[in-house]
Amino acid sequence: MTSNEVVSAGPADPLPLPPLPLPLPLSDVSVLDIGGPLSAYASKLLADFGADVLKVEPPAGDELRRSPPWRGDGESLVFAYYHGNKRGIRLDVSMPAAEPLLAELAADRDIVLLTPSVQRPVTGLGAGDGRLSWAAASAIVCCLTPFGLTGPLSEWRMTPLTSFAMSGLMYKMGAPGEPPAALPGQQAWDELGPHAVIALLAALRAGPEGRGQTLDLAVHDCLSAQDDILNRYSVAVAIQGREDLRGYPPTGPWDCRDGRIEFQVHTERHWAGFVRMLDHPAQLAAPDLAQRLVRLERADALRRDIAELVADRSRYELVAKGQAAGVPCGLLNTVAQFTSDEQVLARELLVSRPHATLPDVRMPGQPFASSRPLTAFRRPAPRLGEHDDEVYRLQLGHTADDLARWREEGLV
Amino acid sequence: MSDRDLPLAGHDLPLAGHGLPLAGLRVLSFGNFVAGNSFATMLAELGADVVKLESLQRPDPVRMRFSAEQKQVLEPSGVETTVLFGGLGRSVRDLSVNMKAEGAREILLRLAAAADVLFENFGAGVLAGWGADWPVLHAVNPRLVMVSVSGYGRTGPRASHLAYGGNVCSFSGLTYLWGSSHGSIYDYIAGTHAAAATLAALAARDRTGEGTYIDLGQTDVAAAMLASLMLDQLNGGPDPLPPGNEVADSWSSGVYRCAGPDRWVAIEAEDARGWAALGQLADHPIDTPDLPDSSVRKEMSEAVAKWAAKLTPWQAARMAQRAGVAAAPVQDAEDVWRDPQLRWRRSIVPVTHPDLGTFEYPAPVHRMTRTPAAVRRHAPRLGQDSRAVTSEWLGMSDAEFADLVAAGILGTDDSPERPGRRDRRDRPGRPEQGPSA
Repeated sequence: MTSNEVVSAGPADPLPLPPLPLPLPLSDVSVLDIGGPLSAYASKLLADFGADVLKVEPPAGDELRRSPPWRGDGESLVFAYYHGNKRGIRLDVSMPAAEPLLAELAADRDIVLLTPSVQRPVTGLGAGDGRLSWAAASAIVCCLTPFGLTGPLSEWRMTPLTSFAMSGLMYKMGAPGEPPAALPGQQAWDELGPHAVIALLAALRAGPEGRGQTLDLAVHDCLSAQDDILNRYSVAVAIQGREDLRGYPPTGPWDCRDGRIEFQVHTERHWAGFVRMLDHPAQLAAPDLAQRLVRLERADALRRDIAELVADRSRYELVAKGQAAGVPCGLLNTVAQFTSDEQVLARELLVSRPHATLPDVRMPGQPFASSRPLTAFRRPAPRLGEHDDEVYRLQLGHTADDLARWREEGLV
Repeated sequence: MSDRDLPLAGHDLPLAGHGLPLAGLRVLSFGNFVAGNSFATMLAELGADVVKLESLQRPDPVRMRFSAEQKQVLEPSGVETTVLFGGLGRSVRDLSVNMKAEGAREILLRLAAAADVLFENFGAGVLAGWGADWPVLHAVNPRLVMVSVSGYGRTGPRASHLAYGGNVCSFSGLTYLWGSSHGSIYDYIAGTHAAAATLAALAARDRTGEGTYIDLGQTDVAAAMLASLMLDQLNGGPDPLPPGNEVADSWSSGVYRCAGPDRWVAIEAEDARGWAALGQLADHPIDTPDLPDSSVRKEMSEAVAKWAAKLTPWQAARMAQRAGVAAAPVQDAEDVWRDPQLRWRRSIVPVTHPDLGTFEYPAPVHRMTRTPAAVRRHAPRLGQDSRAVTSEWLGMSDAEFADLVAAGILGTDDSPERPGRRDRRDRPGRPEQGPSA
């Protein structure tokens, strides 16, 4: 393994780096990420855990640089979020002429991340076996793809939207009679990120036996494994459609005077708490309402009554009262309501990070709390080609003329 | 590719014993529901010796049926089991210990002293109530990595709040943006993040000798997954509105009705090239130099809708793919079961359970050419491995084991006691964090 290269804050460095608090978990792991958006979250997790990640972008820049929202002179905040803690260089990894450079870049890297596709081929990748001709023999080659490296659909062009459609998860989502509802954002692809980290860290733990192999991780495998889609069909041979998810009242969302609230009232104890939370109103006094099936039978009338009972209340007050009464309930937030919630603030879920050209950018931080730091912020996302010179010239020993020639050829 | 490598795919996953990468790692899991079981099974199928801790008095809630229509299946000891548990609980061992019994704490501390990892996703304060929270466990075994998964995290004003999966989805903004509540999305994602953080903490532990406590809230993970939808608002932009089936930076995207009952196809043209190809396909080319505005996008969507309506989802998806446009059928559960790619990759595996019979489940997703994850065993019967684990981990004698069983501290899968049956009408749907908090 290479030592973790922390670039020192020299006089020319506009952004002095804070000292590392502790050796981070992966400070002895080095990664070459030549992938597109599909490997962004995996390499973000590795970089945040302390790995030395070198991100290789196409000469025109990574797709996420063109992903909204933008600030300043077209700087993508999405790129800033995913690619902090990494250094960045340019190289067209589809050109066979890139192979000698890739071999140099990958020579001492423990992990190579890639997202090969028909649209974005990777030179030197074996079609059937997932081996990279230019990777070090000890490197773990991690391929992240929508469908896997092989199989009848492996060459399909996909996006998070189409991956979610294919998984069986979309069909059940949305209102009855309406089109199935797409999962917003790129979560459907990002789910592969932690899976990649799990497989990679497991392989590294295995020592020499885990080295020099290929990981073939597919979005489709991961998404379709969720939500018991297969075993439910396997057992009941039943197909779940888009049903009224409100179920038996009061389970579901309600409007309060200051926003929405959601109740999950399933057991008789939950119901008793719910009635107590609302100070025992006459409309909910019938003892048989404690049974879910009875509430389902009288759903329309009950919904009218409950809507009236909560409409003028504060949802914050109801959540506090409901939780004290043992009712699983919570806020149904907009983004702004979530990002300003006292819980989110107390856990310091959102952090401000320096940016190369913008004022500090607010973004989600480490997605868990820990007794000692397992992640740290070390550097903002690279500007396009920011480390070309440092890596090609200072590290690999090429000349300024070489770099100029490669730029001419469209390689860098 | 050397001869010890496995072919990439299209083969059955190897059975246990083929160099599983986490062999030798010992994990104690109080994990229940989805997040807890998926965490445990993922590590077990990568080779860890994962011991699930349950008791006859407190079986994992996913062992119980959701509805009375489901056929009840009992293990020989009288404990219920389900096909859901059969999938979620795969490949782990099971030790029955009644934490309410006097003397159980000492057994737990002995097990924790022999473990690398301890996982729990009970309600707040349960482990502290047993006198076995992080400070105690860390003192007993400084090398231990401990993980708690909860709805809102273990600190902050909402730490003790009861949360079901739907509440997590709603709190984080996803329900609002999606227009739909989903009970089970961040529980799986919490499980994978917890496993990734655990392996990172173990890497640190191996160097420093010190374990870490990881306190992972499902809403923490939701924030990370929703980042791209939050960044604008977080940096001075407006509160975002639900995007519907429109992808923010795509030229054209949508979910279109196809021929047949409730059949749909998802299509996305990400850029100018895709836009042109889609226009050709729908016989409605629209020349536009830049990202089209909403009225032009609507015009294209209407043309695509007209085109797709005459086709099956697979026809539409395959034609779009041939034209270089991203597309896929919106598959239902049966489509997934028949999915040609999943079948080709053997991503669906039959697992035979002695009480449940044989059902098909998703195969482990961590495919590697040398150290792939593998299904090691069917989901355990409650207490099935109590004797083996106490012997292997603690060196416990037969006499001591018998005493502890007689004292009601440990149980086995042939324990004669039957658990107290719960009232079925009172059974929740898919809780993340049970009413134990």
